[in-house]
Amino acid sequence: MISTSRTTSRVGANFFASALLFSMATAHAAESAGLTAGQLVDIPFEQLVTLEVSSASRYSQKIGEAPSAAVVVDAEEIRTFGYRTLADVLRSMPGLYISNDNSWSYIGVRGFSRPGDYNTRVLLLVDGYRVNDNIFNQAYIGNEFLVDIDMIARVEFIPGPGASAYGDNAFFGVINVITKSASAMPGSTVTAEAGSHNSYKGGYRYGNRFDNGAELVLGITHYASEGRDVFSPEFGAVAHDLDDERYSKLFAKFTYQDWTVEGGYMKRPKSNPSAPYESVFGDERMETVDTHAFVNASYSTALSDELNFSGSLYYGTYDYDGDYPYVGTLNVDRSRGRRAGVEVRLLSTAFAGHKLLGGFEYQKDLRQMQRNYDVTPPFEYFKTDSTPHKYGIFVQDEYAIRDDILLNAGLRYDHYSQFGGTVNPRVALIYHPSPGNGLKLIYGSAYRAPNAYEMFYGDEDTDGYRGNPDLHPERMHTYEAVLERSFGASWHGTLSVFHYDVENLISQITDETDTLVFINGEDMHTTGIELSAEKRWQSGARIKSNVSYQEARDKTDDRWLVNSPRLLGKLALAVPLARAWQAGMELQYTGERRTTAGEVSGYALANLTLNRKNLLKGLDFSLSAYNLFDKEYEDPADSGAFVQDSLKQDGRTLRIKLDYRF
Amino acid sequence: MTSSGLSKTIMIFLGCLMAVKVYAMPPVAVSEYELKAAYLYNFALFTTWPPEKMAADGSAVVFCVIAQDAQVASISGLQSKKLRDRSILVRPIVSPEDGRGCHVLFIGASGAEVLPKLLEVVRDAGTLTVTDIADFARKETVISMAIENGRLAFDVNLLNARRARLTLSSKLLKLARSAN
Repeated sequence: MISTSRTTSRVGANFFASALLFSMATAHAAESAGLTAGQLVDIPFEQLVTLEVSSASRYSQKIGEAPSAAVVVDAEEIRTFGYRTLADVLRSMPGLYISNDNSWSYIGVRGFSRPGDYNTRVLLLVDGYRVNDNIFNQAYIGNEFLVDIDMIARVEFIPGPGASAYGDNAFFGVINVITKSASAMPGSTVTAEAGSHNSYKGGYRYGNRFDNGAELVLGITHYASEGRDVFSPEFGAVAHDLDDERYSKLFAKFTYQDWTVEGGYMKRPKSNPSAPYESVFGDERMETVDTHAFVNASYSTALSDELNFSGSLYYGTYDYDGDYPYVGTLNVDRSRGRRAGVEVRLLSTAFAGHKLLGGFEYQKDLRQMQRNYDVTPPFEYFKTDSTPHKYGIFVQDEYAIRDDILLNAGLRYDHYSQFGGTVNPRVALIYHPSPGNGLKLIYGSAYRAPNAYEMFYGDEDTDGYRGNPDLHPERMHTYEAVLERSFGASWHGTLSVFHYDVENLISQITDETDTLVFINGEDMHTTGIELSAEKRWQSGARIKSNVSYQEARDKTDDRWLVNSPRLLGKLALAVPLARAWQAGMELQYTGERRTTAGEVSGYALANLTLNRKNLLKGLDFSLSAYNLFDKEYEDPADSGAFVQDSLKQDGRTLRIKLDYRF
Repeated sequence: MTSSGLSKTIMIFLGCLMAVKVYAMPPVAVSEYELKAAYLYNFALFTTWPPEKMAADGSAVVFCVIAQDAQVASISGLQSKKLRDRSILVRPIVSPEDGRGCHVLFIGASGAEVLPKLLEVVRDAGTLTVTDIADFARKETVISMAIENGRLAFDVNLLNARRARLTLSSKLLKLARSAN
């Protein structure tokens, strides 16, 4: 898919149109709303697309459905269901589940989310920029996500291996976040939120399209929460004021003609009440700080009617600072990642029946510093740094064999300075007999390269930890069949059956010298079925439901994987109420999961959001209750980091949100 | 960054933004149906039909519409306009069979029931199909429109365009929110 940004107004737009627009701009909305189609067609199209619609329907329509397999949640749904984080958005999607260890949120796909893995097998993109950092390769999806939720136009999740197009980390899926354009949020908006556990959030965002066609989007957000007081049975005490969280986020995007330059900054200090890594329970100094920053400049242009070019240049930084209090000393864990890269893509429709896409990517890691030391007495356990580089080249073709049969094939080669090359193909055959009905058969392969954390965290002399520079990429082969059916006119259903086969998985083990080290070894497979259905009513009401069942097992001992629910079910209902109020209701079920030592039981969460646009002129109001019935539930814990076998999650929380536009 | 330092930074930042705000253009709102009709005109303007579908003799461009009355009325307003020296004929349709012979076919919410059948009739007939229905149906047309944060956005399905043997200008693709 190519998302083409909206163009700017061209010099030479005729005088009449400009005059008309100007008069409209100065007139009241009520007057300009009287313009007829006959008058509007005299306005150049590029200016027409900037006009605001006074909507005839109460409920805004769902925005663009991306490539067929993708699941999309847009800004409207984010508002309707009161999603606070990217993790909330992902939790609503078919087959996905989220777990949390009080420091970060983790996504589970196809029954796979091992505690202790830092979200390395999902690629996270913001407007095409790779968010996964260059040390842990982590996809940051909780409050630690780079961009504020209110700046997001839509989130697409493309399940399955995306390595043939995206390379590293596009293993189980790709999360594609697209930020709002200036025309989607014109003027200024101030946001204020208050929630349970003394949580407050304030923000300001601004969008403007200038007369020369340039667009500017800005956003700034600050959040602070005291968090919960958690009773820990393992320590027999309550952790007071140890769930503290704060973040600040800045985002800016400037678009002019074919160019877009955007940048962001995010810093989040977070305490952890669960005393990770055997640090002293109840010590307030326990804190992890994540800091991200990036700049991405991209250019997209149509070289001809049949050839589209796009390219981008980026620079990204990630800093991690962990303070772990121990008896007698404070231990500091520190990482500094710096990277820069370039991407080029060409899309051609010059050959009849073919849509050809080719691209090249290069990334240089300027810094991958990792260090661990004690403050008193000063002692450095290890310090490493490396500056590898990698490149990838790929080609993809969509070939219409017949009017109703489409072949989609892709191939990508990646080369790493540290361990050589890898080739990944993907083939999909799509049969589309009639509108609304289709069958897709997909074969894919993917890889994930070992990251700097796995290769270099700890050297020969480090007590307890040792990096493994000899790791190889892990690999996966997937087979999937998707059947789409429409029932009547307004029901639409999808049935998918899948089998994923993973080899040489990189896993952390304790070796004979009692040292934690990552090795290639484990093989696992997961087989499952997913069923989803949705319907819309004329009134604007909408229902989305899906259920998935999967069996994920280790191949060696045929054991059920840790943190892998067999059953997942979701139901979401959006209903317009009287007086322009709207309700968004959700029910999410996650089946029982194995932990390292036992099991945690399944749970169902209910969330409810009531919202009203323009409660007063320009003021939007919403009230949300999460985990409405205060269900107690736990997520399996990483046995390498926690003495607890599972970690208790949030009970009922409330949030009130006000947005004021001016 | 300390908390007070941060607050200060935020305040200064906000202050600067407020200053910029003064130059912002006030938003202009137009009726949804009128704007959609104007879009429809522009879609046609930037589309080239196969020669056998669009005779060179300057005959009319036929816009077929299946939608609620108010929307049909808006689109009918285009009949007073010319499209590249051709006149525009707006024809409301009821049954799928009426879909033949249309250059542009707009399917609004009231057409949801007959949509699958209708699309099958016009699928390879050189017809520019456009919808504003919000569900999966939008994947089946050449162009779909949707309101996104108060603006009217549209998406282009190149595969469906190719199947209909239509050539869409790059300008149209550039203005689209997505073209895939």
